[in-house]
Order: sequence, then structure tokens, then C-alpha cells
Amino acid sequence: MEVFLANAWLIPALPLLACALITFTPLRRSNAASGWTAIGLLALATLLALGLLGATARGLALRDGQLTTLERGHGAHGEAGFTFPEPNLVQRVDWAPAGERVLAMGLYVDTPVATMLAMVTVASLCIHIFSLGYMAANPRQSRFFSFIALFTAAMLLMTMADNLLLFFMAWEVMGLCSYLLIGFLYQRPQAYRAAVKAFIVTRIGDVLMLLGLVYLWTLTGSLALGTGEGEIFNPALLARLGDEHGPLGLTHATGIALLLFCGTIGKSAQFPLHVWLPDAMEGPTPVSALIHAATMVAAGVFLVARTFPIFEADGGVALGVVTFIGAFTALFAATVALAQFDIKRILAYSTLSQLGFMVAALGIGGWVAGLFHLLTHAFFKALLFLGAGSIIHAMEATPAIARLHHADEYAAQQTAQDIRNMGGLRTRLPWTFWTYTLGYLALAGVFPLAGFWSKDEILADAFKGGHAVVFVVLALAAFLTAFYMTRQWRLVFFGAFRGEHPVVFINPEKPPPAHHDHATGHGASPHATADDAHWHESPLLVAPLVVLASFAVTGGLFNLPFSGPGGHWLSDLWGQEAATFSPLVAAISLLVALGGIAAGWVLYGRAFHTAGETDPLEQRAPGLFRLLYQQYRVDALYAASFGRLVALLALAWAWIDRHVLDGVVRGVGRLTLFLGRLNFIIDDTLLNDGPDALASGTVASGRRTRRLQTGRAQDYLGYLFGGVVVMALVYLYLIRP
Amino acid sequence: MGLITLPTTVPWLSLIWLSMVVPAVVIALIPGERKEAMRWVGTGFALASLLLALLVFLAYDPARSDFQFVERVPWLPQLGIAYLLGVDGVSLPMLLLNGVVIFTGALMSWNIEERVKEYWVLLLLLTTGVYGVFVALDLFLLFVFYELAVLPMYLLIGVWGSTRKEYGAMKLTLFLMAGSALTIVGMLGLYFGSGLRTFDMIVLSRSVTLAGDLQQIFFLPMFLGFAVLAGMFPFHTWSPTGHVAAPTAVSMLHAGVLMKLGAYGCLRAALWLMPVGAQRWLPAIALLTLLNVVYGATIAMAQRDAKFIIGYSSVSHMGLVVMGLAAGTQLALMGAVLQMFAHGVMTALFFAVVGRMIYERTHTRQLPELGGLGRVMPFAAVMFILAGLSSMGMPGLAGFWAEFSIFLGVWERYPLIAIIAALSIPITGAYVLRAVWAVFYDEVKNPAFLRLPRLTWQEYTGAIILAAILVGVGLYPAVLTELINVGVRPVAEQLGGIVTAGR
Repeated sequence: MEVFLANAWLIPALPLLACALITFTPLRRSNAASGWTAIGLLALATLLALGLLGATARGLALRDGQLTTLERGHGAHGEAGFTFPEPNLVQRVDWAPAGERVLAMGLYVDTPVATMLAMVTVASLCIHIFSLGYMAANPRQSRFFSFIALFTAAMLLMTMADNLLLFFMAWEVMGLCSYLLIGFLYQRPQAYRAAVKAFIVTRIGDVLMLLGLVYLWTLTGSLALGTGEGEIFNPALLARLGDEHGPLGLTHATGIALLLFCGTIGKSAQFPLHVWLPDAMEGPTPVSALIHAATMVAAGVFLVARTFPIFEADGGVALGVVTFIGAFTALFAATVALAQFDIKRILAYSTLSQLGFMVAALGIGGWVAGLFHLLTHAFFKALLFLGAGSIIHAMEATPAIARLHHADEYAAQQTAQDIRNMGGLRTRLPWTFWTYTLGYLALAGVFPLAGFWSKDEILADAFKGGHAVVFVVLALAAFLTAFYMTRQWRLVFFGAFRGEHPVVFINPEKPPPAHHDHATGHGASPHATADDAHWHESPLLVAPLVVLASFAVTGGLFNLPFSGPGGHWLSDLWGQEAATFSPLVAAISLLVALGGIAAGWVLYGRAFHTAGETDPLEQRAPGLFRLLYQQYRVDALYAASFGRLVALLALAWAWIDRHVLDGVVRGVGRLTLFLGRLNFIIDDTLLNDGPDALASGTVASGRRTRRLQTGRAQDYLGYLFGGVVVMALVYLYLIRP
Repeated sequence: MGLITLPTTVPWLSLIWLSMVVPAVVIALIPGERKEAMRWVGTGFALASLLLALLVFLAYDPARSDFQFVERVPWLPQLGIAYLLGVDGVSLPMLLLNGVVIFTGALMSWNIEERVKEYWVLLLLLTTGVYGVFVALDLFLLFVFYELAVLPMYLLIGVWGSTRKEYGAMKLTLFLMAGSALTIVGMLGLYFGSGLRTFDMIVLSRSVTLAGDLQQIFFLPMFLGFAVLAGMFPFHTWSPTGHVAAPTAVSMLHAGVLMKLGAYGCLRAALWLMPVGAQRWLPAIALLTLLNVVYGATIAMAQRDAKFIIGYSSVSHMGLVVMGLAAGTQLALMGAVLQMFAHGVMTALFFAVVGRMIYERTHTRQLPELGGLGRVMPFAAVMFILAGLSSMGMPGLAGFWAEFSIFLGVWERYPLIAIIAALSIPITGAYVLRAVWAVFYDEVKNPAFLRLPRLTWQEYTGAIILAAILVGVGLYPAVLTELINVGVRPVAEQLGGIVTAGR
């Protein structure tokens, strides 16, 4: 067991090694070899992470190289508040001097960290394996693996970071990987634009988070996690931060917490910085599963969970903001998901909404519930994304879309992702269907799947804490979640296959060729009928689905809200107060889920006989549906306000720089020239005569002197003699006497 | 103890600048048609100077925070002028930076075919001046070297430049001359005002005898004179045009090192020698640099010429340097010096990619005309992105530590300025990524670009060295920060700037 603690550093190091190997050695020439390298090393890291979780679960800790056992306080049932868990492992080395202090860097492992590590490695491993099959057709597959290996390393390092600066650094590297991977298919302008958007939007949050770190550092002189002396969760320090007031009448703790939370808003795509995540779906599907569902976007939630003592220190102001943003995003995103047709976009908005659940859970003090939901969500959302990938993969091989593929690859892919063009895939992709169904039910919150337990715990916390508004908003969001997921599930897997005559995506970058061939039009194509020979599911795609599905089913068992075997396992592990089970809340939660499912099933039971039909919701409320379809036009609003403002400023300032400032410079130049000319005139007319006379005199005397230079040796000897005589006379008559 | 020990009988610092004068003379004597020989000599000696700087860097003992490798020879004792050299934790990183940039710049100069001899001689003289400024501890000597660094620039840009080169060269030279004029005022103020009649900066700083009110008067010309060279708003307009007009190696030296001369001068001659004046004026200067940072970054977004983008990004980044100086706390000063180093390396890499790898092949730097070069020269794309990431402060690259320290330090003094300056970070991301997209990823707009000549070994070597330094310092900043920290402490102490975090 000690070996897992002592070698914890290998967990991020192994994927990093994989990245280095794939990038810098000849391995990169072989797609398969690079893929298996990444998978092999990550599998090793996964084993280590699971071992580490086992070790920490037994309460083992490494102190100065000595193995000890931690006394785990069970959070004293009933005692309110969050206790920062004791670390199982802290390794620090001095890194860089910062003023009069030295910044240390290192690893910090406690039980929540160990749990996160296990989740990240397992999910990432599944997605690595899936990518081996899914990305096989891409010639840059080895590059893909080097990026996701780097990403995994950064995520693991962030989780284990012993201080917020290292946390931030790894967080930024993740942002970079996210940028690189969203723009992986950079030949598509949409993909690159989405990548830039993701990078810049999250960076706005990151900058504010960085300022939060600066603020914290200036007050405390430390960014190290922990409750000890000189660490940021030191009770005395927190009390000071919570009492003293900084700018704007806020306490220091509020200011710091809100700045840090801006990082969460960016990274976890909370309103109002959520706009990048739906566009990020331009990245390959495994990327969406790994980065934009399971891990990176959850990092923002993890940040709040990690720095929770600071959020708590101010007596609830910061947490109020957190709750508001989270609950709002949960409902807001769920409504948008109602009106989307792109399978990945629906899942993206669903991710936003679920992240909102987690953030809101933290905001109302449900620390365990938030983190628990993060873990279960990671598995079932990754499962759903990979399932969607499998579906898209199969859809792209259907005749109509394959033909479109030759003309316009991007339009073909978008068409393949449109749920209106699917239907009846239940029998054609059975493995995908069954695993996807499990993921869907888990997300909808159906008993006894993972999502039920974690969501129920959040609702229970809201109920118990008396947050009535939050409870209602989240319950409504849960209802909508069940509804839109049923809509999607129903349209994808049931009914007749509609893909022979798809709704074709019109690519604004590349208008379709003038001659409408029969694949893109609505005209019937005789040879495209019910040819099911192309449907297939490869084992490399199915195996990860099965693994993830098993977690989607069993995930709830890790923290059942009962005492007894398996009950409260996670909250005990994390040393927190255990949630109490409320039958009323569970019943409401289950009713809400079933209600949503029933509504969706009924409403979409007879919809979409052909792909071109109108959505039943649109028939009932066309204006609202359009607004939702356009995602409340937030993007357009930002482009028209901030985007235009910055562009205008740039142009205006560039103009000022070129014309006003340079004009001043040129003016000074002209003035100098003018003064020069003026001086010249004065000089020429008034002062010139004397020097002129002097100059001409010099020239004349020079001319005369020149005559002496005859070039004849006799003359020179003569001068020499004359000179000697003169000097002798001078000596004799002037100097000697 | 330094990492290595060097014999003290050798005048190491003189050797460093002499190692640039010697090849200038040698090249002048090489017959004009043997261009290859000149390139080898120039590059070889550039490497030698880099190695010498590295030796001194390694031999410096950071435990003793004084000036080391001091050489003192009376020069004009009647006027109190001495040939006085020495290095501390501030000048060493600059010395190293200059070595790196001149070596890589020399590597990027192998394609110069026109007037090769004159080019190399001027380039080496310019570098002599830069080395001299960084090692001189006599204010007058510093000024002599400073002028030596500025003058060859005019010819280098005027003869070998591009895009309105005469205009750019003249503008740059006049601005820098005006800066020098201001500096002289400051120098003479110190010389006479202190009553010491010496230019020895160690003496001048040890007994700051200049009366407070005189300091308030003479700080401003001294600081502004150097700040012109550092590209401080509103005296920055020479820098983008100068960068754009200059040939690649000169742009590299120019943005990479020459602008640092300005910031170095501000720190060494103004802040260090006139702390009372500094306290009076620094808040106003901090406010001005705020314009530098945000305004420069925003303008960079509106540019179409890739070199203009880098030029304005330099304005923005040098603004951060001066902002760090203006905050005057230990952390801010350390960040400023580190940013000088990081920005020097990063911007040299930028210009190497844009000026040498791209412009020399495509003969255009206009974003709308470029595109798709990532497929033709992936190496250039990776290098440009690396430099770009460093410029936007990506952790793991040198720029991150510099910007982080500056923000920490500035926050201690002026939190609001730090917050507003942080706006520039996403803007920087925006213009860098825009340039990356337009140059490397957009569609190939000119089919001729698909058959561009391959990169040469000089280009590979130079770029890899610069990139390796960015990554190396980014991963383990302590190689520089420990030294710098020691070096800036006296200045910070004088400014009363040691604000201990955590109280």
C-alpha cells in the first residue's frame, strides 16, 4: 500500500511520458503504436490511482516517509459545515523565489483527490480506447493521442496540486489542450473558430481567477492548500479574511472567492460565459466526452470544492452568488436543450445544466452532493457522448450522408449529427442502444441508476437547507432533463429510420453546388432504400461503452443515503457529514423524472415520420421554440456588444496611433525643419560673413601654401636648411639669454 | 559560491564586449566576395560571446548580492569618469539574453546577400554597445555604449530594411536621440547636483547625496529618456514602424534586446540612483503604462501586417515591464526583469519566424495574403504558437512567471491598475490566435506557397534554442529568478518597496 502513496507522482507523470514519447520519438509515425503507448501508460496510471484510492480509503498516510494511519473523524453526524479533509500525502519542493518568500510546488493527496484521480483515469482510459477505433480514419491520430495524453496529465496534476498556483498552471494547460483538440480538424473554419472562442472565453474567467490568486497571495503570502500554519485554510487566517473588509465593502473572503469563482464560470461554462461549450462540440466526439463532459468542465466545480473554506469564510455572500449562477444555468441550459436537433449539442447543453446542478449544490453547502454528482455525471455523460459518437460514426456510413461526404465533409458530419435524420437505430446498433439507454436513464434520474442517487442528494440538501427556490428550480430542470433526453432517445432509437432523406445541413462556409444532386435534395433516390448492410459496431467502440455503462448503473452505490453496508461510503471517506435520506424528496425526484419521461414519450411518439417535419414543440409555440433553438441569441448579443466594442476600440486606437500620435511626431519634425530653415536664414545673412571671410582666407592661404609643395628634393632640403637656421637663430638670440 | 569558479585575473566582462569588436575588425579585413567566411566569423564570435556570458552567469555567486567581476580603470579621472564594469543579478540575465539573441540573430542573418561585410560589421558594433550598457557601472561609460548601440541601427534599417525603411529608420533614430538628450540632462543633474563630480554609479547610489527636490526634478528626464527606448506610451510610435522596417536579425535585437536597454536604464540609472524622485513620479508613470498595456494589445488586434502585430505586442509587453518598474516592489521589479528576459526571447522567436522563415520566402506579411503555411512549414507554426503562448502567459513558458510576478507586485501597490492591465491577457490571446489562424491555418491562398524552399539548418538551430529557453525558464524559473531577486533587492529596499505578503 505504501508503494501507491510513495509513487503517486507517477499518476500524472505517466500520461505526460506518453505524450512526450508520442510527440518526440518515431512512435509518432504509427497511429496504432502511439495509441497503444498512450493506452498502456494510462492503464498503468489507472492502476496506481485505484491503488491510491484503496490506500487512502484505509486511512493510510505518508508523513516524512513514515506510513501512519489517519484518525478519520466521521464528520460528526449532524454537525453542520465542511471540514477540510486531512491529507494522506504532501510532497513539496522549493520551486521559485517570490519576493522574500519561496514558492513551493508539490502534490497533495487526500481522499477527495484520490477519488477524483480514480474517476479521471478510468474515464480517460475508456475514452482513449474508444479513440483508437473512432479516430482510426484520421491521418493525424498519433497527434490526437499526444494531445489527449497531455490533457489527461494536466487534469491529474491539477487534481493533485498542493497549491493554487500549480492548480492554475495545470488548469491553463488543460485550456490549451482543449483549444488544440476543439480545433483538431482545423481545416474547418468552424472548428478553428470554436477553438479560439473556447480559449478566449475561458481565458476571461481565468484572468479573473488569476487575480483572485494574486489577491489571496497579497493578503496571506501563501497559496498552499491545507489547514496548517502558513497554509490558506488556516482557521485564524480564514477568520481574518472573513472579518476584514476590502474594496467595494466586501470582505476579503468574498472578493477572493468571487474572483476564483469566475474561473469556474469560465471553465465549467456557467452563465454568462457558457457560450463556448456548445461550440466546442466541433471537436472530435471523444474530446467532447473527455474534456467537455467528464473532466475539464468539471474542474471548475472541483475548484470551488477545493477552495470551499474560503467560500464559507464570509458567511454566505459568495455562496449565494454561486448558488444563483448554478441554479440559473441548470434551468437555462435545460430549456435550450429542448429545442436542439444536433445530438452533441443537446448533450452539451445537458452538460451545462448538470454542471449547474453541481455548482448550485456547492452553493447551498451540499459539498458531498456536488462532488458525488460530479463523479457519477462524469461516467454517464462520457457514456452518452461516446454512444453519440458511435451513432454518428454509423450515420456517416449511411448512403445519403456518405454521398454528401464527397461534396462537403463538414455538412455531411453535421447532417449525421441531426437527430431528425436518425430513427430506428435500436435494432441497428443494439450495443449502443442498450448502453445509451442506461446512460440516458441515469441522466434522467431514474431509480436505481447513478444519476438518481446523486441528483436526489442535491435536491435533498436544497430541501433540508430550506432553499425552496433552488429546490423548485432544480426540480424543474430535472423534469426538463428527463423530457429532452427522452425526446432525443425516442427520436434516435425508435420509429422508422429517416436517414434516406435527411435534412441536409447548409454549410455557410461552402454553399452547396448549384446542381442539386439527388442525395442532398428531398427527391427519392431509388437505390437508397433500407440497405442495412453498412450498420456496424466495432468492439473497440463497444467495450468502453460497456465499462462506462456499468458505472452509470452502479455509481450510486458508492454513496447510498442509508447507514449500513455501502451507505455513506463517500461521505465517510471524505470525512464529511452524511446526507440524510428523505423519502419525500426521493419520491418527488423520481416523480419528476418519470413525468418528464412520460411527457417526452407521449409528445414525440408520433412525431417525425420523415426528417423534414416540424417539431411538436415548435407547432405549439413557434416563437419560443425559435428563441430556444437560437440559444436565446446570447452569442449574437455578445458579438454585437463586446465583440463590436473591442473591434471598434482596436480600429479607433490604431487610427489614433497612426494619425494623432504620429501626427504629433511629424509636426515636431516639421517644426524642427522650420526652425532649422529659420536658423539658416539668420545664419546665412547675419552670421555668415565673418566665418565666410575666415573660410576664404583659409582657402587662399592654403592655396598659397600649396605652391611650396613642389615635389623636388632640392626644395625640401632647402626648406629644411632654412628651418634649421631659423631655429638656431631663435635658440641663440631668444632662448639662451 | 557560483556553480563554477573563474580565475579573477581575466577581465571577463571586457572580453565579452571585445568578442564583438574583434570579429567586426576581422570581417572588415576579409575580402568582400568571401561572404561565407564573414558569416562563419560573425556567428562564431556571437557564439563565443554567448558562452562567455554563460560562464560569467554560472560563476556569479548569488549569495553575495554585490557587484562581481568588477573591473576599474581610471579613464578621465579629472572628470570623474572611469572604465568601470561589473555585473549583478539584474545585468546578468540581460547579458545572457543579449548573447542568445545575437547568436540566434546571427544564424538568421545568413541569407543577407547585399553588402554583407557592412551588415555584419554594423550588427556586431551594435551588439558591442548593448553588451557594454549591461556591464557598465559608470554612467558616462554606459552612455557611450548606449549611443554606440543606437547609431548602427539607423544604417541597418535604412540599408537592409523593408516597408518604408527610410522613414522607419529616421523616426527611430530621432526618437532615440531625443531620449538620449533627456538622459544627458538627468546625468548632468546627478553629476553636479550630488556635488561628487563622479559618474561612478556605485558611489552615487551608496550615498544618495542628491537632495530630494533635485531628485524630483532630474528623475523625470532620466527615466523618460530611457523609457523612450523601452517604448513607453506616448513615446512608443517609433517602435512598431522600426520593427517592421528592420531586417530580421535587427528586429530580433531591436525588440529583443534594445528595448530592454531602455528598461534597464530606467531601473539602473533612474530608480536606483534617485529613489526619492521615483517615489514622486512613479504613480503617474504606472498610470501611463496602463495605456501601453491595454492600448498596445488592442491595436495589435487591428493590424494586418504580421510584424505590426508583433510590434504592438512588444509595446504592450514592454508596458508590463515598465509597469513593474513603476510599482517598485521587490516582486514587481523581479517580474519586470524576468519579463525583459522572457519577452526578449519570445519576441526574437516571433521575428525569426515571421521575418526570416515566412517573409523571406513568401515576400508578404499581410495576413489576408498568407494562409495555410502550417501545412508547408509545420515547424514554423509550432514555433510561432509557442512564442504566442508565452506572450499570452501560458504556464510552462517563461512569460507566465514574468507576468504573474508583475501582477502580484503591482497588486501590492496599485490593485486597480493590476486589474485593468489583466484585461490585456485575453486580448493578447485574441490577436495571437487570430494571427495563427490567418498565417498558418486558413486556406492556402497562394498556390506558390506550396512549393516554398525548405527551412535551413540555421533557422532550425536558432528557433530551437529560443524555444528551449522559453520552455526551460517556464518549467524552472528559479534559474533566473533567484539571481534577479538578489539583484533588485537594493532598489526595492530604497523605494521602501518590500511589502511583505501576509503581513
